[in-house]
Amino acid sequence: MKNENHDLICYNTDRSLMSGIATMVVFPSSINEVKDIIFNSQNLVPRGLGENIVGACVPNNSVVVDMKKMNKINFDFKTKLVQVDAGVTIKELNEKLKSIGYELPIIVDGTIGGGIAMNVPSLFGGYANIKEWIEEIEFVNGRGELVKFSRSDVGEICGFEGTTGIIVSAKLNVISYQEKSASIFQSNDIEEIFLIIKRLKLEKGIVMMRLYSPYFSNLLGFPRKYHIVIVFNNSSGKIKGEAFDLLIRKVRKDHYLMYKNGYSETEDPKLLFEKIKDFVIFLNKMAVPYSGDLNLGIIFPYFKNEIQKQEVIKMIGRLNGKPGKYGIGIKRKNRVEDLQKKIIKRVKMRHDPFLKMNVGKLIDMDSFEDFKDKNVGKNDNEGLGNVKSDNYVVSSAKGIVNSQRLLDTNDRPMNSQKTPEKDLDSFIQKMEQGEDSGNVKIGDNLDRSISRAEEIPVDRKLMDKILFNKGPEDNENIGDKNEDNKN
Amino acid sequence: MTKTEEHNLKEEIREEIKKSLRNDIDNEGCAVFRVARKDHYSPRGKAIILDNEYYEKILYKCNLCKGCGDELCSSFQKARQVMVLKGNEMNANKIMIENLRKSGNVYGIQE
Repeated sequence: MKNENHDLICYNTDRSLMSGIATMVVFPSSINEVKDIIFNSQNLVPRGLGENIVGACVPNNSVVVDMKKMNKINFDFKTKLVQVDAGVTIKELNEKLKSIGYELPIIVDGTIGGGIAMNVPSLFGGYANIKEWIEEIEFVNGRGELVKFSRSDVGEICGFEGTTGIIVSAKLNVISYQEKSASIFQSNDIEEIFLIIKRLKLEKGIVMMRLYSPYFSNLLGFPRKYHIVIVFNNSSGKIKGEAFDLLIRKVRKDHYLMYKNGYSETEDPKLLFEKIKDFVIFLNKMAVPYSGDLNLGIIFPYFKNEIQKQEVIKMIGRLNGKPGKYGIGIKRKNRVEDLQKKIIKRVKMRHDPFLKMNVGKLIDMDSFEDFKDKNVGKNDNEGLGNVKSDNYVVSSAKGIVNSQRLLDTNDRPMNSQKTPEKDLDSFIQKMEQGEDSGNVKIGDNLDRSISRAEEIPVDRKLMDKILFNKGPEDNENIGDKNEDNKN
Repeated sequence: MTKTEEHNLKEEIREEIKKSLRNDIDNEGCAVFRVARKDHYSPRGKAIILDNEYYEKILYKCNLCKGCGDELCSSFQKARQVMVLKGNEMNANKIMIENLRKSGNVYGIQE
């Protein structure tokens, strides 16, 4: 379906404001239409709301597949699973679920398909990434074949930013709707802040710990001190009801405040808990304002100039930080490590051997030649191209793995001698079939200091001291309390 | 409308759009977009169309409800101003204004 120019120009960009060229836009409303589109086209870019900031939806003389017409929602009361089409926005889904007393606690702008493709984390970091809530995905790969992936295998799609195929629907776990509340802790002392965070991490029911630097706090309307916004999934917090909604709206749109004040660039390094403090101290020295999600371990520094940004990026590299929220897209292709590139290429070639899907995002794959390595036989091209679709169209991920092994046996001579390449390949295979190490499971705690922290009893008085921000005269911190005690 | 006035209005529209696109546009706050489900009906899409001076294309696609935020609304109103001053308004609008002048109400009912 061709569209007039004024419609097409809207699809030339996304929230990143990077510009490309869309040759055509199509609006499939069923799985068969998606299959036809993929089967009959080259150079496709799937699109939901286009809310990513790394250019993952920007076309390059591409056909844009706008998934928003696929918008069915079905809820199963027995299994507490919701079957939802890829074009449904997360906000819409939660509005419908709230009316029946449930919620998907992934609070983010975007569609279900886009959220899964980018593996978005929730605003409430305690609920981790959307990947943890997926039970099943239906997905049309680059060959135009419908495939179902179960929970354990969604890593082949989740986080691959639409480079392996088009997500058409997903089955998601939901929870009973929980009325949330919040509290705010403030301090002038960064050491005190981290002491509080360590103790808060032991508390159940905390779903968000959002740290703000003094400058950023000031922009939000708080005093010029460090602040932690703490959200509980119960009524433990002091801020409730409309005040809570207002606070969350502020937190959700806090990055726009920075944009308005000239901080046009940001990063999202995900760090181990022990390294966050070092990173924060470094940012303080560089006078770089920041916020941070301390459940997920992601810090968001904001920059006005390129020099500052490059210095911080170097520090992120030294601390082994990985992209935590925004994805890779076009903007950050150069940051993908070699091992990660190899994994991405293998997965991509498995699902999109004809390089139709979102080419130029995540990594560059100029040609099929790019994939050849020493273990692949000469007939590898023919092997993948000539395999009948019956061998590949299966209803479960296990079937996919089995048919891939069949292909290996038929088309690639298995070399019994161990080589470094073989070792690397088997390591990569294990990684591909295992969990993505960057994701946090609900209930898991990657904080290795927890074993030390468990020796420290939780200070109930301290927890009661966390006040919400009425005004400077109403706020206490441990420092003041300690001074009182000394006196 | 003089060319200078037109040029100035268009410049103002472009400045406001550029600011809006960098700031918060709540796409899902738009009732039109939630029904139509296409990007050229979304607030961001409409802002891009305005930026490219396709004013007549978005004339009937926005309720001016401010569901998308406060910032885009004034750009849409200015775009409509440009359209009206160039004589590209709806017939119904022309009739309403004429009725208003004659009878003091948009229906043309004489009291």
